Amino acid sequence: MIAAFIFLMLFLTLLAMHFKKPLLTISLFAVSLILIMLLFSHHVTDALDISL
Amino acid sequence: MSDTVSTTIHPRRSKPWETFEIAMCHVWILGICVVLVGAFVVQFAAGELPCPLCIIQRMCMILAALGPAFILLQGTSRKGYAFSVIGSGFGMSILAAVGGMAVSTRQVLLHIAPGDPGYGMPVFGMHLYTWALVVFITIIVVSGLTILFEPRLEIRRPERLHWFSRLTIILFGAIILANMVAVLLESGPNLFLPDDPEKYLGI
Repeated sequence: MIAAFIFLMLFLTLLAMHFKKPLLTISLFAVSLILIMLLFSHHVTDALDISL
Repeated sequence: MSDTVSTTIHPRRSKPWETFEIAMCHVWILGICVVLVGAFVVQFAAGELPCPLCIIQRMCMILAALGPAFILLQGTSRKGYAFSVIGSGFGMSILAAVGGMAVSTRQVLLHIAPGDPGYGMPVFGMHLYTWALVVFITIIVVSGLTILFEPRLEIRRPERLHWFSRLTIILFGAIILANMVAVLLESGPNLFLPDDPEKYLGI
């Protein structure tokens, strides 16, 4: 669900480019990037279940 | 005098260079679309479900293609916008590619141990996450070179967008929505994607 929401954010960022408000696009881009990195940090800290 | 200063700060860009730059933005977006469609082919035709890291790499690729889309759609910098459009567009792409590179490097390192078969089937000798790493490095290099040789950080956008640009943007938007639906099908009602997906939880 969170991943789908991020894809929706990316689509909204693309839609926002059609308006003459570059800062709106930049803001949506920044929010999307932060959400992606938070999702990455969630998955990257998962236990790997490996034994070396 | 003022003309001299103006020319020095904003040297006139040749028409071929601007045409090349606009063409490159299209190639960039369409190239990312081809990669994402290829990932769909592996997902649906070969029946290999993408793991969470694969999905995050798709997100970063889309994010990196939003930069050229921004250049195409915004064109000449607008009143009240203090930055250059091309600088912002390629800056967005570089940031997204750095994020994507971190994700794909993480996945490459997960399977770097000798004897590890890797995740999914290899395509042209390399796994998809290794190809993703190549794509992100290419994005950073191309963005850097473009900014390096860019004589003027603005682009003249026509009042009406060319039909091919419009088609490119529509295709790109459709692929983003298709990814959203595919992820919904995979995760089902769960908040996060399963670490090792084996079936579609939303069907």
